[in-house]
Amino acid sequence: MPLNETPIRIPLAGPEPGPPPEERADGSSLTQTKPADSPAPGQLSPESLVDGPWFGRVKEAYAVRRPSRPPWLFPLIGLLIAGSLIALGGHWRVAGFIGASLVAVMTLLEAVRPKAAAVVHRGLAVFGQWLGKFTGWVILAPAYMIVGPAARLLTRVIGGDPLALRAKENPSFWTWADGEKRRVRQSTRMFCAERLTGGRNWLSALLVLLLTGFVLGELVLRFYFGYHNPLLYQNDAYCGYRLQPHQDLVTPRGRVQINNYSMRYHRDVTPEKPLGVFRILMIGDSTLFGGEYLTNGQTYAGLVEERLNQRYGSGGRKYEVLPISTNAWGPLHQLGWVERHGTFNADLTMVTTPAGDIDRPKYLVDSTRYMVTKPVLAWQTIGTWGCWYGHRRMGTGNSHNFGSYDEAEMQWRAGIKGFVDLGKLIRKTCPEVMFESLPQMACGQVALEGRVEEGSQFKALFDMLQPEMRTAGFEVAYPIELFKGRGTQKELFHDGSHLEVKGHDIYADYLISRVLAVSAGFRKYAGLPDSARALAASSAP
Amino acid sequence: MNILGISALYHDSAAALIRDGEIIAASQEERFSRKKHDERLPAGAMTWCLEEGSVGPDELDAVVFFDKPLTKLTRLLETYSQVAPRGLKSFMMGVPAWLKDKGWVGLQIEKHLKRTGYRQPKKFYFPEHHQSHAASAFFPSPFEEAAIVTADGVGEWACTTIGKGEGNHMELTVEGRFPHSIGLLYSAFTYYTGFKVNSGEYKLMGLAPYGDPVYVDRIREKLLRVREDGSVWLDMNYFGFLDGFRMTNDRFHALFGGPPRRPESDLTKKEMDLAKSIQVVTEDIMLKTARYARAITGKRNLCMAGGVALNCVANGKILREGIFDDVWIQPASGDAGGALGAALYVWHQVLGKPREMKNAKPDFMKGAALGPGFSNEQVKAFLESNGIPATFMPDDQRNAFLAEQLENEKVVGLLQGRCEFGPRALGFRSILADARSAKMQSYLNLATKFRESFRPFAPICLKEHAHEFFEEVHDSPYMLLVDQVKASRCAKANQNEANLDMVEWVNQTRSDVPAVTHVDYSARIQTVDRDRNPRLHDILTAFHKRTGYPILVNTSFNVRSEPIVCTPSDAYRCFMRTGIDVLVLENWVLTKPQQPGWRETKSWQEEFGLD
Repeated sequence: MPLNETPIRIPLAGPEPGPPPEERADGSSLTQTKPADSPAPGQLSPESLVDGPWFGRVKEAYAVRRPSRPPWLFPLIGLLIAGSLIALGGHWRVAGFIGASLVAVMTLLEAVRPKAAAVVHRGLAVFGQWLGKFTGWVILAPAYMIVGPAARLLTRVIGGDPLALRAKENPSFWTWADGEKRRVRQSTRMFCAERLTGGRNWLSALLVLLLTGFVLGELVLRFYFGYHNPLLYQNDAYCGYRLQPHQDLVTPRGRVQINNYSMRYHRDVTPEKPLGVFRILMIGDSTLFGGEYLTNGQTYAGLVEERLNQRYGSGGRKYEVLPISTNAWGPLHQLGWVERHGTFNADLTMVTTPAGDIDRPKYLVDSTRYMVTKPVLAWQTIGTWGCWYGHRRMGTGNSHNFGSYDEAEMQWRAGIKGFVDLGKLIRKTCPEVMFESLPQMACGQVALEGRVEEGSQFKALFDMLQPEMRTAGFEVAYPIELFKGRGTQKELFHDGSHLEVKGHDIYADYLISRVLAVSAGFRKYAGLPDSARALAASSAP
Repeated sequence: MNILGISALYHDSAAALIRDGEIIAASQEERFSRKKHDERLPAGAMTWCLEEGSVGPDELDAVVFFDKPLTKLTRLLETYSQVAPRGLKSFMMGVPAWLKDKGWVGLQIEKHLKRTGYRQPKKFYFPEHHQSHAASAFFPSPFEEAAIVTADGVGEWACTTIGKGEGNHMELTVEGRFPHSIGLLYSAFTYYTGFKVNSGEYKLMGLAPYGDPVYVDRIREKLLRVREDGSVWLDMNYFGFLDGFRMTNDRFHALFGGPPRRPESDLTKKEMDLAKSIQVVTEDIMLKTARYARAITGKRNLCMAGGVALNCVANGKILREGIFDDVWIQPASGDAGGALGAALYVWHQVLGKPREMKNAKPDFMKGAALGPGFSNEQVKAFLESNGIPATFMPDDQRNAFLAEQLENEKVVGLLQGRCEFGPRALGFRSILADARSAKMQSYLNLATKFRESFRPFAPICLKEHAHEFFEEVHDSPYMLLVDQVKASRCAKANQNEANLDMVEWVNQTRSDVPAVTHVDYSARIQTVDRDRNPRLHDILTAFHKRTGYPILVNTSFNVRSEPIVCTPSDAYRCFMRTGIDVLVLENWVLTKPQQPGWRETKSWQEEFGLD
């Protein structure tokens, strides 16, 4: 055929009808379809075309088959959820009522106006989709923004290049494929771990991991535990060591204020008592100090002051409770402090030290784990406590750290003598003195279980202390069943010796009752009848 | 033993059924769902495959998904971890989709099987993406042993692999890993020139002959490094697909002088030059890769698969270079073919079943006619139920009639036999026309296929006459090789044709088969032999007898963006919408003038969108 001779027809523009098939010269064997009803022009359209007899099961497969569910299922689930919310009470109850109302309305709507219910369902579905997207963003986006860059940095530092982004100078960009045996072995799994390619610097990886751990740890120790800002201590020629004066630090749970005389007290004081004030000096160890997990007002000293002023502060009476205490102090430290500072013109002095303190020598701050200067890093605090102090714990006593029973007994004797001397010294300058021994958790909880202090080391020490003190004219109170039935161990005690908020609360009331019972000076100042028995009956907390 | 292979969730989802190693059925989901490049779980294709194979409810022995979804997820996460905090939006789009669908593909397949009445398969397999491709390349090939090259965008991590196959065993040796992918590089240019990624690549390839390779040096200097062994490294500073939805970024745009071309806007010389340039670079890489494959495997034959293996220009060059004695390319080289490869992988590689090499000629693909077919009775029932006039003709008579119509420059829509598996129409669902007509390319593009005027058409030629028309390629049964039209048949083109309007340029007569001669005198060849497609062979023979030309235009039976027709009703719908003059449904022949009126309620663009 000659090229380009015949112009192209455009059949859509108006095709010429061809001859009927039966009129063809060779048409003897032609067969025509025989439609039952010939369609009128314009009758067929893409939509009206009837499909042929094929793909029956394929069409079935496309049909969405929803599992049939009873009509009461969703309302029931909705009501159960709503009921649970109502049962939770509080604000949940409001949500529960709203949910129950929605379920009721939707159930009613489905029964009466199914189309309207379908519209609502679609609306809820769209809402759910958006909610899902929003939730996705809230959860995934922060994760991406935090983990992604960190992973990128880490990979970069360790020399990893999983995408070979920096490999353009490689002599070849092929990598060896996995062995076929391994592939076949893993052919039933949706996941197959990739072989690690070379080029990673594992030493760098280790260093980076350590560095990352160090930094993350520093952040946690600093901002969660506040270890970058520990309480500071200093040596003292009289009492061995004490808290540095004028400290005010905020910890994750509490606030510690130390005044000019190293007392845990909210303001500075002078040895001269203000006029018209009933001053109580409390001397003790870490149990009186109360730990950094409390604020000043939550310690039993703070509570005693607050409650005395509340209960007995009428008529312009004022009460001042000055706690002089330092972590890990023993009787010799306390004695030293009183030797130097006296009793601050107190009307009543209370020594609130557990009997277990009698085994503590008069060591300096160097023998403790406590910090003398502010550390640069929170890790320094951990290092001091966990490493350095860990090897020096001998200095802070505890009987089992002595070389022999004889050595320990010598120390106990020294401690008992310290308490006796402390009492005698206080008596010289203070009209009244009381000794209170705080029950330890071991004793207290044994008591809770009804087995009293059997086998307790502290009770044994107390039994050594009490006769000596009595001989010197002092009575040490040891309310071993004070906490019985008044809370769980976790509620009452922070650890084996130190009280939690509730423990301080109970102990404060106990001490007040003791003051009322024992201190005639207090009763007089407070204008109470001078009968301890009558008072005890009328003012028990 | 029945093994069902499935590929899904990315693009071109498909299912394939093999029984005792024989391919029983295979089809893309788009043929059923009528959504081009349908990526959803191939519910229709799976169901049809099992029905076609008469597989009973408890006779399905294994299901094979064509890749490892969770390994892909880890690649995704690792990629994000290397670009964060950039890529948040992409991450927020991508990861929920994984968590919702892709991570649970096994369960979804089981659920579907259960719905359609099948018991849970005895075994579930997840070979790797490129293993599936490699298996689809080697196991159905006619070679006892061969080198294997697979290349596509990306699988789990691998983008390109080289391996070898021997008997019933294959092994991948080296791989090029994400993101350094020749497929993604090509897709980046597809995106930049305004075509759709994952579907417009073949348009870019068709556009290349109109341009000049002016950007080759810039691409090589700035965008990538290519080693002599064919391995590539992409400079990710120029690409956007690591951390966003775009393939390219501003730096890439600055490099090539402006933003990407807007889809459907006019094509300019720049796009043509870019197409040519990236085609040259791609061919260079593929040639080097092929040489390296030959060197490290020592095999004399080559099998190829993966999306890049659909670049028939590069394929033709590999063949012509003589690196290998012979080259066989999987006709469904894209992800669809992964379904078939996955099933074959399990049969041969995992279960160790032998290949029956006595049946290896011409190959094991059955001419790629693995999809649904329709009997004359089914066609008749369809025609009669719709009141459609048609004439039944026995084969000889039909072929003579078609030859006459084709000679008269009529356009013929042909539905016969089983639907093709893969993206190419190979004469089972094809539009045929006279290759001698100078204006046929423009006419078919604009009035029949409603697609861009520059796009070329492929010839089908009787294999025994291929040497008369083409320089070197004389056997290309799956339309995957490009060769030059014989110089003796070519006419000198207008010197100034680059200045012509695109339609005029296309319509320049370059040979005595101008409708299938591209502007660079090349043609994407399909040779037709009796073994694979005897009925098409007969049509060509009839045309040859009538005109002296054993060659016709063959293009897919669809309009732009429509999946290739599958059923007679699809074919009739396309026939009535377009400039096709004659429709052949098996032995039933329909002519346009005889047809009842046709009322379009909406345009085909609305139905299919633009690709």
